[in-house]
Amino acid sequence: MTTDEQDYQQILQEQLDKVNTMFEIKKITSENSTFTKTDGGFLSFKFEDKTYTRVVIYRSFPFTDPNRFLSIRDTTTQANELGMIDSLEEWPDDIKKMIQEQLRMRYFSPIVKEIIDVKEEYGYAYWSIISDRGPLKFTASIWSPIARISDIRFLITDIDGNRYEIPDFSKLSHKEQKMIDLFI
Amino acid sequence: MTKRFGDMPKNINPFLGYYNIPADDVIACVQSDWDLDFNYIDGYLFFTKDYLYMLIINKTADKVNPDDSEQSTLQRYDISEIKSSSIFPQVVGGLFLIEVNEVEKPVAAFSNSFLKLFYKMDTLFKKRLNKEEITEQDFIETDIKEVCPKCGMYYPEEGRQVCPKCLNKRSLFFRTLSYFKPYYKYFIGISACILINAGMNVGIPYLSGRVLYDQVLNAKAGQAQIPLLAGRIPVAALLIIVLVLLFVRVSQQVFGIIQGRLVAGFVPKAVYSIKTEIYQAMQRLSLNFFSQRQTGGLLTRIQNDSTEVMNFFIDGLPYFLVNILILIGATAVMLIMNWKLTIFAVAFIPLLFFSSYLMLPRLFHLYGKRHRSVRNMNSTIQDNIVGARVVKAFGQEKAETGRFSKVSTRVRDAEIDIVNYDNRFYGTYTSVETISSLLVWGVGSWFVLQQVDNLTYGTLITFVGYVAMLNGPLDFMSYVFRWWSQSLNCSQRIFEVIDAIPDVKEISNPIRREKLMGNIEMRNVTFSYTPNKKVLDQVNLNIKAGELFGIVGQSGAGKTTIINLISRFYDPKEGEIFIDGIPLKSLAIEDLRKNIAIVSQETYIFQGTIAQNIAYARPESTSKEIMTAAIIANAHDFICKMPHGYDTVVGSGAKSLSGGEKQRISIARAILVNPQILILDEATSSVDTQTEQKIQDSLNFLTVGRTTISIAHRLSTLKNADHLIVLENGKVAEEGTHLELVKQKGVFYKLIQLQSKALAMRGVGE
Repeated sequence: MTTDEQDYQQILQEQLDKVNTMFEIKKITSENSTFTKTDGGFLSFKFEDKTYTRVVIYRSFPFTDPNRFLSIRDTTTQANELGMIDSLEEWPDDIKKMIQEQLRMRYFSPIVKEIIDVKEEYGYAYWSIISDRGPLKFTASIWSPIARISDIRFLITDIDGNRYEIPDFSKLSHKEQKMIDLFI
Repeated sequence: MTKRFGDMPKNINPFLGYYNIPADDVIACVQSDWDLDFNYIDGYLFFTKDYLYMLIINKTADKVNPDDSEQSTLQRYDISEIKSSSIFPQVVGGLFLIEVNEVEKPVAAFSNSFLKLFYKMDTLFKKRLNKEEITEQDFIETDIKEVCPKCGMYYPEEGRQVCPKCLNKRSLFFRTLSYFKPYYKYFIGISACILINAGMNVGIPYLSGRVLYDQVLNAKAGQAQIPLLAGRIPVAALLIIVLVLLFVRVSQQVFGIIQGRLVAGFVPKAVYSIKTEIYQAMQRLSLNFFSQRQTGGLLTRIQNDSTEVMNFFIDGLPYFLVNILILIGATAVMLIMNWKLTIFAVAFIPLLFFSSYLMLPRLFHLYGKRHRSVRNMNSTIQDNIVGARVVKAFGQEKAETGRFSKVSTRVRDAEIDIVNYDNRFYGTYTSVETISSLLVWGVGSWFVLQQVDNLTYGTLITFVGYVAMLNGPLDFMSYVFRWWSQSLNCSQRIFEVIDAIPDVKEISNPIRREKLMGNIEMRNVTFSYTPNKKVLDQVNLNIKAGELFGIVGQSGAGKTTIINLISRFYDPKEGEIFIDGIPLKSLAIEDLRKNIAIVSQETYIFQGTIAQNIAYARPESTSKEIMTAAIIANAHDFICKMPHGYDTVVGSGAKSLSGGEKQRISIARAILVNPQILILDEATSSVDTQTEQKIQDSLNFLTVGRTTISIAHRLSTLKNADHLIVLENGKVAEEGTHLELVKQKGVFYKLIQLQSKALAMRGVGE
């Protein structure tokens, strides 16, 4: 190898390293960090010699892989990423529970147990359902209000942007399926 | 249920009484719908001078009894202990937090329905924490959800004052009909034709049945009782009957043709006015309307819906009237002839109408579904055609075909559903018809044999003729109901566009200014496209007339938003903008837009010649002016090199221009307008550095004597700026001249360093 080529290889490697550090995702494990539950019911976080009084946790794949690639972020308006949890399964149970609580808070949406009535009128559908949180009434647009997450899982969004989940479409009665079929 | 901001809902007054809180002490109140465990509750967050309260009223109680301690809970927080408050947004809804003793505690939780109100509440509560005065003004600016005056329901779509509950189909029908009002003379003519035709129709079975059989065939010569036939020999009488029948048939055809011509004469005109109104309405709407809807859907709306409505009114409505008249007429004649038989003939018809009434809503539904799937398919096709280059480049033809077959399957299924349902509908009708006519035959024959009511054979034949006459209208009814529902579906969609209210509204008496100076001021402007993400946060700007004002910042920092607000494509959520000291909201939009020209990254080239494209905003420009503008924009050269020069037709389907060429034409367009405020939003991002330099030179020339706001990624573009701001996360992070900012060694300095490094890496020196 000539020196020119060596130089070139070296420069290339340097640039590659730079790119790698730039795009590196910090891995958060139970060894290199501590989560503590605060009195307010949130999580404080200690990582790389820094303590954050409250952090938020985002799912990278909320539907397809809800327990993996959890992004831990600070509470500033930019919500900077502090690091990422690879898989929740690797964590001790108590912390797992704490994290799951936070996730539940962030991703909460009522589960549709029963559809009583969907009435369509002039561009809006008036829904009356029974959820795991009791009976609910809401108004949704008729223009694709239901998003298909998987073959059986659906998410209804109302005009305010609230979401209601149908975990398993096939478990609804034939009548209920027919009622909402028009909106899918 | 109240969503009104700041008002104390009356129904909680007894509860306040129970807790000894004077209602007048409450400064602001907001309703919440979740408790901290996400159960649906009736919650109220409010504060007085000293305390913050969270009241939860138990929903399950049958009777309101504030004294029952089971029915409500109240949390109280001492404001003097609260250090700060914040909103913690979740994917849907959020939490209201307060900080007490260095710990953040949740106080209330709410769904998206109350998110906006809670943000406002947070702003107000912060004012209280900072001991600032809270005035009436703080409550006024909130967008309160508007209520339908008739039923008190909230309008489902903000800004669109159409209450779906109070808008009924009948009014929809008459509203559509009102487009046909100027043509009432045609209507009178058509009605006359219809009446004559229906009358003749009802007469025919009488002639061919009762008169023919009983008076001609069955009677001895000279015994006929009808004046025209009295005393004639049977052959002559027969001839007369045949001639009369022929005459009736021919005149029916003639009146039919006259009617058709009358209809064709005015309906296209009426449809034209509907189409024009939709188009006008769309032009009037704000940018938001277009960004929220698929373009394919809008296309379908203008094209198909108006045609659909026309078809019904041109074909359906007149025949509907004819058939109704025939139905009534035939039944009346039948009743006169023999009311007993009539009962057998019409017994099932009410049943028929009742079942139609039951089946209609579902049909309405199915048509809506088909429309949605067709719209979806159109959008997919459109996307594919527009993005043909990308599809090919990534070799995704197969995947695209798959995507298409998915949406087209839905259209197919929807069609099948409709046809299936329709057959059921049609089947019901046919069976009723058959049963009725068989019944009449059977019962009638028995009547003739038993001499009931002296029923003659001729009368029976006539009677059966009338029963058969009912079939046509009934068939039509089965069809017209479907037609009617489809056409109303279309009318409804049309009115949805026409009734939509633009987000950006002009005040009733706007201030007119032909020529603006170009002083722009932004005071504490906050803006967000969606409620929980502030794009601009308390931005203050002061741009002096004649300045070259530069805005830099990362993508997503809010640069383009500032321009959207200054051009009034959107209105700020908080704060105010002034131009020459006039509040932007009071200035006539027309005058504002006349004084502003924007060159943006998105170039819009429409079908037409290059010259027409340049002269878009000033069609009266001379060729010389157009050319001068092109020269300044550094576009003259490439235009001249085209074989057809300035007359080259560009735009969809014609010659395509490169990104840089399009951009230069847009610049020329802006130059030609000679506006007082020139906005350059990444105006030179698609051209190479050399060309940019050239354009920059000409722009420098152009910026003299006018206010120029320039957004640029390449910081070198803004070297000559009089004043620069650096935006970061919707806030002004730094400001000053180029030199001052470099000296500050802050964000701007870092950006410059980064860029020159990046350019050096790519081998592009600055």
